[in-house]
Amino acid sequence: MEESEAEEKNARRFLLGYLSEEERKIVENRLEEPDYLELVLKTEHDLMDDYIANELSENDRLRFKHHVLTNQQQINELNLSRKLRVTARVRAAANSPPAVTEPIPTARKTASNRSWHSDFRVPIAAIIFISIGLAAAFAVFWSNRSSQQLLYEQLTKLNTQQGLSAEAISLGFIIGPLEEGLTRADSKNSFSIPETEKVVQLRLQLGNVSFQTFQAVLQDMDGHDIRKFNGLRARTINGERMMIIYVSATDITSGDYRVRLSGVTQTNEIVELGRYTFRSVSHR
Amino acid sequence: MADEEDQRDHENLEALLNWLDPDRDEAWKKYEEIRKRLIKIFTWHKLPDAESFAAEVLERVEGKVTEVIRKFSKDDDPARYFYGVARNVALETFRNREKFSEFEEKHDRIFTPDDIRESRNLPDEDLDFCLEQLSERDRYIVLAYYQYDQKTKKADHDQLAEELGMSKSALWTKVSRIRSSLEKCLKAHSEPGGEAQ
Repeated sequence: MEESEAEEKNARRFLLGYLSEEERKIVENRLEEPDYLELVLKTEHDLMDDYIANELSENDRLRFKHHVLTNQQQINELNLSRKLRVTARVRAAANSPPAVTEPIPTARKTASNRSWHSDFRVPIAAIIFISIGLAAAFAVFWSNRSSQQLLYEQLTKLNTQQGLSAEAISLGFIIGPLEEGLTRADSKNSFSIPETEKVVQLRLQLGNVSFQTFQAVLQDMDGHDIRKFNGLRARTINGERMMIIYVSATDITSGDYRVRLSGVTQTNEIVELGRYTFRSVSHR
Repeated sequence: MADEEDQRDHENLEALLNWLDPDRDEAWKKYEEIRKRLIKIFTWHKLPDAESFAAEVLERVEGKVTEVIRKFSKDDDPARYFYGVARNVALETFRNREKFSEFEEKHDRIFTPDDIRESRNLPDEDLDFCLEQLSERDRYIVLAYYQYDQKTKKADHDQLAEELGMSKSALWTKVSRIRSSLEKCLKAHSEPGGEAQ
């Protein structure tokens, strides 16, 4: 077992480029042995897992990018590991039973000569009526929650999908295009959102920045996060390059807001691009 | 002349596949596994265009297969021969590099991390589709394998191996093969008009 761990450690050092020329040659010669090759393969796979989980030191992370992610096939393997990890955890969470946090108390048994229903008729009726009321309230709550949840899911889909249809482009109340850098809301960036509107389209001027995807955070003016949007894409509307973010109108009541926009690099680093301010004078 | 060459190539490939496994489907799977490992070997040797080098190894072995089968021990893993040829090809390449500096200029550039496109931490519809193409058992194994807690990863995998009645190395081999199936499916599924196999 110890020998195997030592070999794994050495394989790790080989993959991250720590070995001397001579040490490298020894490992490279051993790659002829199918069992040793499998060990190095497994070690590389584990290194990829550690990279995905941010478990590597900064130095090892740089070495990993330089020595391991050297071609598209390696990247594809890394991406597959990443996706499998996400999928496995999402499915596990979806299938796990709800947690029971408190033991359910059992009724005390007491000796009595009287029949139980004559003593407890009124309280039982009260319990039944209260239960019906609670069930009805819960059903209304769940129905409302479900439709709001559905709206959020639909907006997430719009925000991350590749292209937008003409219908999508004209969906909801349009705020913007907002200019980056304005720190106060004034008449130029104030908008009155109709009460009946369910969807708001925030449009942000983008300019020539070039990123695969973008991230945005909607905040109030105290800097508290209201909602975060990932996987956003740049759009071109009437020749103008901009960011379109679909937001539920319930997230924007009266007041001043700020959107912090960031670009996401190909190596998943976040680069802040700017802040966009606006005022909602909705009647909600 | 060309027909004779084609015939010879066909016979060599048949002999190679029979050598890998008497079952033709299993033989192709082993062939593909070896090809992938050859690509890995050349990647680790820091040689660009590892796929071309892997193809060269396969071609060399195929060209000499009848001779190799005669000399190779039946108890040995055929893959070993391929990996040995890979080592020779790598050594030849480095020797040629020392001789020809133009080669080094043209081929020394390694793919840089900035050219790379990593995916985000989001669920993937294509992967979901391909997972459903696996057998129930394979799907269970691969999802259970990736469901580990980062802090107890080794213990989680030990436990899974025990649950499945396998050694840890057998579990890794199994997961590796399932990944190969998923890669194949993802490639077919993402191509326009493609269907998963």
